[in-house]
This record gives sequence, C-alpha cells and structure tokens, in this order.
Amino acid sequence: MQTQTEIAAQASNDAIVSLDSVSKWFGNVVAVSDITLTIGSGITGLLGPNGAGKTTLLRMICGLYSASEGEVRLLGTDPRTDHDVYKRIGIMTENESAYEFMTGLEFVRLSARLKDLRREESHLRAAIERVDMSFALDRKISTYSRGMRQRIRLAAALVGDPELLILDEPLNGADPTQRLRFQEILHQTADEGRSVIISSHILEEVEEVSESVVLVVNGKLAAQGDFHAIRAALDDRPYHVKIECSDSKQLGGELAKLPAVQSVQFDPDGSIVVLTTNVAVLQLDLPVLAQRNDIRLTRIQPIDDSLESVFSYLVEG
Amino acid sequence: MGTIAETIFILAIRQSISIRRVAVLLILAAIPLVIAIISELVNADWDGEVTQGFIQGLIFNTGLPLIALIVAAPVFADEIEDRTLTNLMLSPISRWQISIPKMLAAVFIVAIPLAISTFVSILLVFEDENYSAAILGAFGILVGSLAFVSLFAFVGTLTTRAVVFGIVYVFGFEALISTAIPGLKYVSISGNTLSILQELNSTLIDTPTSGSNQLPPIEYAIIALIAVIIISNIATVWRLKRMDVH
Repeated sequence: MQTQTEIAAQASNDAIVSLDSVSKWFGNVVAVSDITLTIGSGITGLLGPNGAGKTTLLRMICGLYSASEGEVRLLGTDPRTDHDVYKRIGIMTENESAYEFMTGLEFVRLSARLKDLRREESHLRAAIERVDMSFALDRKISTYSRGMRQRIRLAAALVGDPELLILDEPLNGADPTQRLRFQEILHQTADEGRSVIISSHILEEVEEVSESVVLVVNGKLAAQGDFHAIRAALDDRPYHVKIECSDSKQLGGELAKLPAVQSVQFDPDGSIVVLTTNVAVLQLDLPVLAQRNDIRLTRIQPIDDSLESVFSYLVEG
Repeated sequence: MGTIAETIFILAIRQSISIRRVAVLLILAAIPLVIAIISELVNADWDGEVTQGFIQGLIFNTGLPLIALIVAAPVFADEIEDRTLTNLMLSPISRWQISIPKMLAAVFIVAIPLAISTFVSILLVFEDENYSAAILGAFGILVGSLAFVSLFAFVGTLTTRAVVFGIVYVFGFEALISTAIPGLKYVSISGNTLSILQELNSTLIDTPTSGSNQLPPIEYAIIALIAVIIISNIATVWRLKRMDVH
C-alpha cells in the first residue's frame, strides 16, 4: 500500500504542470504570489481578469520567466534548464511574435526545424491544414490579418503533434468563425489524448473548451477545479441590478416581497437598485411583476457583472 | 533538412539584412575603398603617416567597430524588442546553439564587405601591389569582427539601447580616448587587432614603440582578443539562460 507521501509524489509525477509556492515579482511589483497548484491532463482553462498575472504565470510555466521564489515543473522537469522538454510541447504566446519577413509556410517550417522533426514536410503540411491556412501559406506574414497570424502561430505550435499545448489568450483578434474552428481544434487535440492549457480573461470562452479551470486574481490562486462547480459558485453570488421603469416606487415595493431579492434601494435619478442572490429567478419574475402591475420597464442593467467583481467575490469568499 | 545551427544562422542573416541596414553597411564599408580609388585617380602621394591614419583611424578604429555595432547590437536587442526571441527560446536547443550561429551570422555580414573593401583599398594605397599586406588587412577585419561582434551582441542582450552604448564606445573610446591616452590601446579591441597586424607585417601597421600610439605586444594582444571573444560569448549564453523573455 502506498503512503500519503508516495501518493502525493505519484500525483506530482503524473502532473502536466506543478507549481510549488511560486512567486514572481518585478522590482516592487508582485505579479504572482505564492501559488501552489497541479494541472493534470485534459483541457485546463487559466482564467482571470486582465492584469491578474495569467501571462506571468504561463511564462513561468513555459520557462520564459524564472520564478522569484518556488519551483516550477513542466512535464516533470524544470523548463529553464531542461530545454528538451520543448520537443513535447507546443506553445503560443500572447504576443504576435512571428517573423514578419517570412511566409506562413517558412514560419511553420522554422518551428519544425527547431524541434528537429523527422519527416518535416508532412508534419508542417498537416499543422497548416489543421488551422485552415493552406490558402495563404506562401504569403508573407506581414500581409496577414490578426486572426491569420494567430492561426499560423497555432500551426507552428501544433507542428509535430506535441503532447501538451500551451496557449496564451489564443482567441484574441479571432472572429466568431475562427473562434469556433479554434475550439474544434482544441477538442480534437484533447480527443487525441493530448493536453491543453489555455488562458483567457473571458469566462464563456474558457467554459466552451475546458472542464477544469484555474482562477487567478491579483496574482493569487483564487480557485481551481471543475468549471461547473466554480460556475455554480459564481451564479450564487449576490448581484446588483439597476432597473429603470415607469413607476419605481410600486415596482420597488413588489420586488422587496420576492424571496430572491435581498434589498431594494431607490436612486436619486429615479431608478431602483436591487440586490439579488439569484439573478436567474429575478430575470423570470421581473417581467411578470411589471406586467401584472402595468409598469413599463425601460432599462435593466447588472451593475457589477465585470469579471473583476466576479473574481473578487470568489477571492473574498 | 538543415541542421539547427544552419537554420538559426540563416534566420539571423535574414533578420539582419533589411534594405536600410544593408545600404548603411555598404556605404560605410565602401568609404575606405572610395577614398583609395579617388587618391589613385588623382595620383595622390600618400606618405607613411597618412597611410597609417587611413588604415588605423578610418578602417580599424572607426569603420570596423561601427559596422560591427550596426550589425551585432540588434542581433538580440531587436529580437527582444519585437518579442520574436520567444520562438528560439521555446525550442529544444541549448542557449549556445542560439547565440553562436547568431554571432557567426553577424561576423559574416560585417566581415565580407569590409574585408573586400579593406583588401582592395590596401592594394590601391600601397605601392608594388602588396598582396600580403592586403590579405593581412582582410584577416585583421575578420579577427576584429569576431571580437567586436561578440561584445556588441552581448550588450544587445542587456539592453535594447545597445546601439547608443556602442556609439559612445566606438567614437568615444576606440576612435578617440584609446588613441590619445598612453596605455589604453591595451584595452582597445582595435588596438589589439592592430598589434597582431603590426607583428605580421610592419609595413601595414607602423607605429612607434613608445608614446600614446604604442600598441600592446602581440602575445598580450592575442590573449586579450581571445579573452574578449570567449568571455563575451559565455556572457551571452549566461544572459540567455537567466533572462526573462517578454
């Protein structure tokens, strides 16, 4: 029978990524603070508002940044010293770091050569076809749109079928069709038994591709685990909703009677601010209530629905 | 399929040869040649002092370090600034496999035009078609290029303003201070390069054995240049290993 220590060591060995008390600071600015986590196989979303420290965290995971404190392990090794690990990984950073003077084909070929791949041509054709960029592979990258650049960079990351893909904000600049294609590729990659770590500041974007999620806020680990459990926690949090209508006093009185409503405030501009613990129920009840009392609703606006407030809620518990 | 070293060498060449940079490079490399051709056309009578000033001052103290600076300083600095260095740093290759091909590519770009220009210029300036002096001049360009490129490439890993540092170094130290203050040629790359050339061919470089223009002894010069090349390249690899790549 395995001891607890052996089980923990085994889990750490099986981990795609493991961080142990990792911090990163730039001068006096703390970008990542004391994060300990393990990321397993499958698709994992790294979620957090802009400036939360996602990119810094990913760059430490990739080995582009050294950790100021703590230990980073990627596929069981330290990527800062064991560069062979990059043979097994495809990485797409947030920046548009492609060589402008190259054609798309040359850029993907460079990636294949740097990985010292055998059967280089077949690898790179497959990667380019996968991101639907065959039509523009002989065009210079300088002539590409932002979405095309993202796709050719994804092709460069995919070349050689790496067992792990790390993608930092890959959907930035992608149109809806490209987003769908991106999501398909990620699902295909996962279906083939490979793992993906994808970062985003958009909740829905991550929800569509990953079941497991890591939430980072202000450089700290806010939550980690099953996406649906975290999403449920988000849905249960109190929301402020501002309502403008033809008769604030009457509607306010009726709203106060609803179980889902915690409090009602009247703003000087004539609107009502409702604090609700169940925004879904409020969405259903509000039109019924207004119709029954012959009140015309002119505007309904959640006033603290930003990601920052969602994450703050989670952090503050 | 080429090797990884070839791939990075060719990539570095392609990165370095923008139209504007090539134009500046060729103009600077052609200056000694143009002066030599004009002097030949007007049958100018070059005395020893003018010849030495031409070779030492124009080619080795100013032209070579300036061209090396223009090519070598951006080798890493530009990649750091436009963030393309991540493509190399996230590859399964050692950091020296990145730095050495890049350094050699820069030496190739610096040395080829300047060595040709120097070779032809010396042939024109010296009487009796002194081929040994011309070949030695081109050899000196190669040795000096290795040292200057190694140094400037390393500085490019420290700051994206390596060119500013380099201009101050080239015009302030190599061209001015090291030629004016006795003893400073010992710490000048140009001074040590000239020392080797002088030892091999005293008609090419003819400097006094004392005073401000005194060159270091050849044994010292060889060790000093090898030290600059090795230490700069080790420092570049060390820097690549430790830097945070944005």
